[in-house]
Amino acid sequence: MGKAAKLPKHNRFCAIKAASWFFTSLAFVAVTAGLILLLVESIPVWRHSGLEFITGRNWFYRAREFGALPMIYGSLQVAVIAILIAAPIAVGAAIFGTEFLSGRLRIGLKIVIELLAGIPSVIYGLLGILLLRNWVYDSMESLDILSGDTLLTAGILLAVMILPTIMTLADDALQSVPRAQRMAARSLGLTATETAINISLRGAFPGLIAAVLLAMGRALGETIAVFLVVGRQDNQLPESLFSFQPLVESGQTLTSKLGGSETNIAYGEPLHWGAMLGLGILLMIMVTALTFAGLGLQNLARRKNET
Amino acid sequence: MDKSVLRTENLSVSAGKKSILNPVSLKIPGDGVFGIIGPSGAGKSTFLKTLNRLCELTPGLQINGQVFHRGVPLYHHGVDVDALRKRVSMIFQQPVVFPTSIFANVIFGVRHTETIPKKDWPDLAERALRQAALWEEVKDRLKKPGKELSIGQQQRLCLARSLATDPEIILMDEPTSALDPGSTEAIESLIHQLKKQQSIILVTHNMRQADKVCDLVAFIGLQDGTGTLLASGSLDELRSRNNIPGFEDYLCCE
Ligand SMILES: Nc1ncnc2c1ncn2[C@@H]1O[C@H](COP(=O)(O)OP(=O)(O)OP(=O)(O)O)[C@@H](O)[C@H]1O
Ligand SMILES: [Mg+2]
Repeated sequence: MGKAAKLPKHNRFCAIKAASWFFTSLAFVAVTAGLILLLVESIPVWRHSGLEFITGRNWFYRAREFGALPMIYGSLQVAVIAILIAAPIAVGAAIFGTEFLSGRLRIGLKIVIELLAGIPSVIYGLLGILLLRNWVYDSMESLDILSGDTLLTAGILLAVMILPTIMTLADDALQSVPRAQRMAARSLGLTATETAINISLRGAFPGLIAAVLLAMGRALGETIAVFLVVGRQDNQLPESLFSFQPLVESGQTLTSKLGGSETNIAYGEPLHWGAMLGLGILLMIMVTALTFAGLGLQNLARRKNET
Repeated sequence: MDKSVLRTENLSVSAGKKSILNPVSLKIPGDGVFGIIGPSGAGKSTFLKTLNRLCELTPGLQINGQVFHRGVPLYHHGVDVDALRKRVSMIFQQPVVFPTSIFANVIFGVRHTETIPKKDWPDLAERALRQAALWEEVKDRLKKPGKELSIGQQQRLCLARSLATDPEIILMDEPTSALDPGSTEAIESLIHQLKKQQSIILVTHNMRQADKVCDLVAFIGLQDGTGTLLASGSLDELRSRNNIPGFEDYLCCE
């Protein structure tokens, strides 16, 4: 037996508390240290380009030109497509599961979702190449597209990948609406559908938005699957934000850029390396903002449903 | 001619192999307050929930037998269950206030089940709140969240919400057991008022309350672990009989 088991109960509790504090702080320090390291290493590019790094439209590293805007655009575009496709399906399925399915079918659905969530992302990427790329190419032929490697392809693939995330979180959100409220609504004569809309959906709304934000964070951060189907074409920033054309062209995201060989080339050349790390910081900021917003909303939702 | 508002015929409930309620045949007259008493776990709540078919929303429960509402069978295909639940409303042990304003709570049922124009909602809400003896306490803060009210006020808010849809029968499942004595008093005198227009079926654990508000009672006890209807009649009548199994134990321990 370990020593801890022999400690009196009170002391044991303190030990657990101290240990959890220790490891929490350790994690916090590690993350902060990592961030600071990234920031320090990226200083050369900020010196060189300033805010142009964020707003610049061109990235030619041999010409020492570093503009990240096309990649920010690519990342957001891909994530937004993914959310637009996945959120309605996933939230709809979660509502259907919690409100209308009986116990055993619900569990079956959960297992399928968990299996989907467990598939490594590189496999999704391969499946994307195998199935999605040609499909996009064929169905968008009328738009005169050059290949099936497009932002749209990456967005659709990501939609499939974040489907389980949204569904699981949406399911949690719906479950946290007390059963008693559903019963009270039914006993006032509301139908199952009216109850689902007016009690479950309304009560779970902040939680559902949180699910979408957290999933969007995951979509922004996803690398390898996007890498395989996005085309990795630099400097693709459309003139108009509201045209459909750029979606069916190859593009570059922050992650596909960072995941590529340019990162290895850059290492050793402080300015170029700093530019790559700058991309990493931009990605971190976007993902962290979404995650914090999502977690905040989740907390709000939890407090709202406490009785 | 059958004058009872509700009548059950061999109504039983089971969960899989486990029997929860042995067949109950009971007539509930429409006028006055009908009480249901009995020890904890005897199946009083379950029985109550069979009367507006709320029971069948709990997965895993099987319901057999029949309930007649003014002679019309309720467990029958073609019965509009949602319309039934609107006419046979239910108040729960813990007040269930929706996370919205007091006003929105009161008109919740009306808004979603009836086609009353929006401009009539305020009048309707006021009438329901007055009926539930809550109007004076909340008239200046109708837009405030319902959850801000005290538990006793919340229960009256739930009552107002039911009353707004003008139910014919109100099922109350120990509506005062979570409340302080003052609020209990308020609900009890409300029941006295309401029984002039509504039939009320009240589950209670409290003999003082049963004495005070119930005109007739049914005693559901446990036999071999299964809830069984053991007697019904006026409370005095039940007390004077001394052959009701478990009844004396129940009385002495309350
Ligand atoms: N969904 C269910 N599945 C299985 N058993 C159930 C279910 N619901 C209730 N029961 C059982 O049925 C019995 C009666 O429960 P019920 O809540 O109706 O009792 P009660 O008389 O209202 O008790 P109390 O006075 O404590 O409220 C209990 O033994 C309970 O465990
Ligand atoms: Mg009960």
